[in-house]
Amino acid sequence: MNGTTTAPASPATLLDPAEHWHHRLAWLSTVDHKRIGVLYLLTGLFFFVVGGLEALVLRVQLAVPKNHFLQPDTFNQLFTMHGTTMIFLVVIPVGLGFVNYFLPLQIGARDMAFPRLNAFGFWLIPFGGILLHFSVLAGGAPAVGWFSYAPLSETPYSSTLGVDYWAVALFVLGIGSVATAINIIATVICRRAPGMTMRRLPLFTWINFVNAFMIILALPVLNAGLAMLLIDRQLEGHFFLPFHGGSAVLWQHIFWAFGHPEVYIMVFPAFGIVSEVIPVFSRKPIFGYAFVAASSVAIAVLSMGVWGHHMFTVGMGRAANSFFAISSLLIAIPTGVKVLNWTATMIGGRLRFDVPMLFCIAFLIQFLLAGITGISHAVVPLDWQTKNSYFLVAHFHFVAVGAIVFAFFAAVYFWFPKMSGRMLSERLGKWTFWLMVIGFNMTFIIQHFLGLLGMPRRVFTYPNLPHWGWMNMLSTVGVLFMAAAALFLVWNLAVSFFRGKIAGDNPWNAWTLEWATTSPPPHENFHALPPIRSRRPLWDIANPDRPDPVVGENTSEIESPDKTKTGILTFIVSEAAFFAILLLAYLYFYARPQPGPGPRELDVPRTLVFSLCLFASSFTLWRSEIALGRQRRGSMLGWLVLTITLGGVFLVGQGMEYWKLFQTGVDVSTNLFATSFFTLTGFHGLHVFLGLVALLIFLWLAWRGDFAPGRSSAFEAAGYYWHFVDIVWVFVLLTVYILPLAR
Amino acid sequence: MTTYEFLTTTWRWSFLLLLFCALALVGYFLAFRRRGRLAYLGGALAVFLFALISPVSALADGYLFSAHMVQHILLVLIVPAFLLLSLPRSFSLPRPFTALTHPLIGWMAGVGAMWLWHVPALCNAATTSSAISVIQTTSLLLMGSAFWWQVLAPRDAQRLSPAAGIAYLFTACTACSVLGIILTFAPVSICPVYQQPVDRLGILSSIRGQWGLTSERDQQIGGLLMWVPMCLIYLTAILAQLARWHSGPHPEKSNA
Amino acid sequence: MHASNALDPQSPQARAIYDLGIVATIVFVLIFVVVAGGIVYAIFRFRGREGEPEPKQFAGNEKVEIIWTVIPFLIVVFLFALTLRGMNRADPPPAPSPDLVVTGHQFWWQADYPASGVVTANEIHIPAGKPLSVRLDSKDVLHEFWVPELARKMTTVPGQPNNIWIQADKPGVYLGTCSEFCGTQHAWMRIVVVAEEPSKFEAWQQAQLQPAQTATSDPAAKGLALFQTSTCMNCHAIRGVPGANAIVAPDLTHVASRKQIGAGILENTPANMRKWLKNPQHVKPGVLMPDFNFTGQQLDELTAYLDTLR
Repeated sequence: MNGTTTAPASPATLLDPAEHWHHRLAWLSTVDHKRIGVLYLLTGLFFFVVGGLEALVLRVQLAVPKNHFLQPDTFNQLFTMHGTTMIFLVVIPVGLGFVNYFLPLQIGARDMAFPRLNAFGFWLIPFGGILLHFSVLAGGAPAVGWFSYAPLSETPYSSTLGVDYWAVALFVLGIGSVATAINIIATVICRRAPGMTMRRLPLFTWINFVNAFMIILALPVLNAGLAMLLIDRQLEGHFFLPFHGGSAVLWQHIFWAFGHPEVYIMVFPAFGIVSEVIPVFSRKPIFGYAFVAASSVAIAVLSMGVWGHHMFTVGMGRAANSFFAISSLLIAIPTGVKVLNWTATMIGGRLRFDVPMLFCIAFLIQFLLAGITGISHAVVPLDWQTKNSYFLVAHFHFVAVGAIVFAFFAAVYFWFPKMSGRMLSERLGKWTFWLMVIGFNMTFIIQHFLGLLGMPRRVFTYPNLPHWGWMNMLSTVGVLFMAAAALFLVWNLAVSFFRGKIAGDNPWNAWTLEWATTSPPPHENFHALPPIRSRRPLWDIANPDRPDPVVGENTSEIESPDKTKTGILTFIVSEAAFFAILLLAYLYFYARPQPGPGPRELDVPRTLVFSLCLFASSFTLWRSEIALGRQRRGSMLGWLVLTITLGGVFLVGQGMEYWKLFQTGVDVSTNLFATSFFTLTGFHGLHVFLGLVALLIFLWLAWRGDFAPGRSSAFEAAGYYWHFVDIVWVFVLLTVYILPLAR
Repeated sequence: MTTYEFLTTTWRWSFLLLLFCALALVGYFLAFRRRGRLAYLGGALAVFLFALISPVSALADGYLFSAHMVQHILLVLIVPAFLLLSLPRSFSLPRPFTALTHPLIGWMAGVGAMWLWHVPALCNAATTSSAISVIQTTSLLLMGSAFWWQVLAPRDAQRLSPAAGIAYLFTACTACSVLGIILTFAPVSICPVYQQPVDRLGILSSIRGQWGLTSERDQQIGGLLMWVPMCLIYLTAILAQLARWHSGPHPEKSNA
Repeated sequence: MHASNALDPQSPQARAIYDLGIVATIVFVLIFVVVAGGIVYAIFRFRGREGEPEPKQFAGNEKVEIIWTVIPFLIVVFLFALTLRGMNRADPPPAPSPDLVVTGHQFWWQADYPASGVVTANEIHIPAGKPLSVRLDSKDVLHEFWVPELARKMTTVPGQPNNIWIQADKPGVYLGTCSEFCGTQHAWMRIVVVAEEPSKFEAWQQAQLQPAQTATSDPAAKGLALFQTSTCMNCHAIRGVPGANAIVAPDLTHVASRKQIGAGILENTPANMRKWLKNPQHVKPGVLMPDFNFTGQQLDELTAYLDTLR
């Protein structure tokens, strides 16, 4: 938006008109983390308006009983799009946008570790958004809800292309999020400024660092599920079709194994924001840094094991319900610890009630209520009443709006001066705040009671039962207040961008490194970094008489691991999660034998021979790496060619296996063995193929002699990937080919 | 037999076990004298005895897969942890054993202890043959010790750095959770012995009736025990690693 | 006026949940008051003024942290104990064979009473004071059976029958709904539970068991003929009419005895029935019943016939 106003030599003045136009286009080709961050935020804001208008229309339809404002299918499409848009195109991009802009600044880095990957991750978001909305032109948007429960989402019950576009769009968005998460991890590990040790990380950075791990573990789970759903829909597979031996409940397990971490993935950036804003406006460091940091890790780990609380009513059985109740109740503890620490940070401070702080205080109280109603969903019998009712709608909107959106508003007011160089208007900000608080609570508090009075969610209209009418009307009126608040925000952004008060470097007297540079920061962020000895470097400068205690040891140099290797290892972790789901799905159906072909159709001895080729290729690639290390080009090329040949032979072997199965009439649609077998081995084959392409590129580079010694880390990284693909095959081989022999 | 009778009469006071514990106590005292941390050793022996003589053991002996799982968790995760904690700071492993302290071996031991003994044939054999049962118990204790060594070794230098420790524990937790998930959702019996128990104690009717534990639900609970409470043990250890990192004087070598 | 109020439980199962909810709410309110009190206290007590120096900097207190980790832990343990107890009370193990089988269809409920053989739709009759073991099944997508005053909610999963208990302490009409989104007309997949004195219930059951009367006089007889010659029988069953035994759509043997049409969208009166038959897609867009384009006279005849099915 405005990277140039305060920069000394603004391109606008130096360039001729054609170049100037090109400079404008530079926003599209930028790899600068700040610009990408702004692009994220603007994309998020755009979709926030779209999703908000959808919500407004939904609430208008629900204002009175038996309303005919919308057709039922229109309503169903709108709530599906509202949920999907708000989660995947608003909350995630806005969170990642703030992270993109401020995480490198906070750790004193010049940019993210992989700037081009960063741009790629961003551009997948508008691309996914367009794919999702393209469904409207292609026969109608999906009308299955944002979690797209099977079998309603399967072809027999949703025959238009809406669900396909939805699945492809989410797949694309998932890849984008994983790419960005890998980037975040590599940036934090490899790009910290001297002195910025892991124990001195600002909490916003720390929490989003932990969050990135959740993303790389959770998003692939969704992608595996989406791949299975698409195989069902496009290739007539049967994963989630109960009438062909599939399982509707399996979709729920997979979706929520992603979906619950996803809730925390959405809320973690908000936690990070609040952990920055509250100390600054209380004029005190965060209370219990270590506890806030550690509780994030506890939440991240626990979040992987609580998905079952979305399924207390599908009949998992008493035992499973109890265990998921325990884990879900336990996750309340670290969450509660966070809230208490934020509260304790305020106690004993000198509170300043600027707009960011106001939003954070509202966040605290609303998140407290959201957490409490959340606990009630972990108490299984209460969930048996409140699940899928408006009580639940109220609960998750308290999280999504009352906590997350409020924190984002706080972040906008807090960081806009840094991004634009100008302050937002406090007066308009207070209007936004009060309209938002009133509107939000008016809309959603009453919905708790609507739910208890028996109103289910996702109904396009409802009978005129006692109290339902006025409660819904009140809720709808509240939305109008929120819409007004959003208008005030947009107005404030527009006006202040051009005419706001000049902010200066550090308008809030904050203490983290993003405030140690100009507003907006120069192209490579810092002209000079202050010394970093504690968690609040700028406090130490402002208060030399009472600096913060030094945290940890003062090391002048941080040995930072190679970023390419870090990136590829992180990527491998996310791939492992993807394959783990496919393997578990295969086992799930293997344990429930179906009529028709089974593992006995497979040619075990031949596959073993071809597997040996694949395993041998790991060895040859290792030799090739050694040769590269010893600068023996010929030897390296030889081993590399051998590796590629062996990999190719393996693929030929897989092709023969497939060919034989097709010959005997076995394809994806035959039965569940076939569906899960082709999915698992097919995705593995695809990865082998991609690995081969990568190796071929390296072969070409090495052939031309372009292989500068410094590039060997990229080659090693490709090697990691190749070994990983081989290891996956060990598990596939054991599960698909060897396990049946043990019977 | 009623539940009350069962809980009071099925303690199996094996002379050999008690003798073994007594010898362990004496041996420990002779080896470390005052330097040892007796409370931890007491904890280890108490949990060890509880796992093997209490009604849990009676149930694990061919009745309930879930009881077997409790026993399993206690022997792999709890007893070895206490044992390592009881070692004095000066303790070092004798030469030939130091090879076992490679993190990869520790990890494989910890995860292998879970997976290996739930191969149906081995699981069955351990329940039916007392010789194999002894081998199982011994191996669980050893493998558990090898696993925990990376995290709970007597001296800081012998342990993994906190960040590596977190990765070590998290991946182990994941690997065991996967097994737990498989056990929970497998429609077939992993350990067929527990499907049709031989009712030696006359307790089967109250297990199936009063306690409401069918063999499927029993296996489900077993799987869930491996999945949730075990993960909580790992999670506790992860948090301990974080605490150690935040209080430690040499944090930076851990970053990676 | 009937309602579906989870705060007004009418069965031991629903009351178990309600009682648990009361205890939990007390705990929740206490938590809220304490924490929100802390926040409000901070806001008023520590309001800063212009020009004041920075406050004392302190970065935490481990004892406090441990205390406020342990207290929530104890609360969690307490809530978990309540959860276990509540689960047993609100949802005891099912009976070996169900008293009632409820099957979800897009967008209506089928109810079968295996012991007596009664089949009906969208309106369940139960004897007051007697717990019934209900098996829940689905013929297509996921649905969810929820009658807040009488029982927990439970999803109907195709291929995985679930069980709940349903009971009403006293006679009355209780409203419920499908609460899992199941497609276009999810909103109008409502259910009525009528609890009656056991004797009345028995009488109802006997009446439902009778085959439909054969209409002999016009216009109902013409309506019956129309029913047989149009494609109605492909989906609807009427016991007593030869060949009409499909279960794709609600059984109509005693359709006139029910309170509602279209799973809750219209009250069951002859005028409404005529409106429904005239164009179901207009009344309930997306319902699986097509528009038959009946003439006005045909509509009168069909309505007259269906009105005889009491």
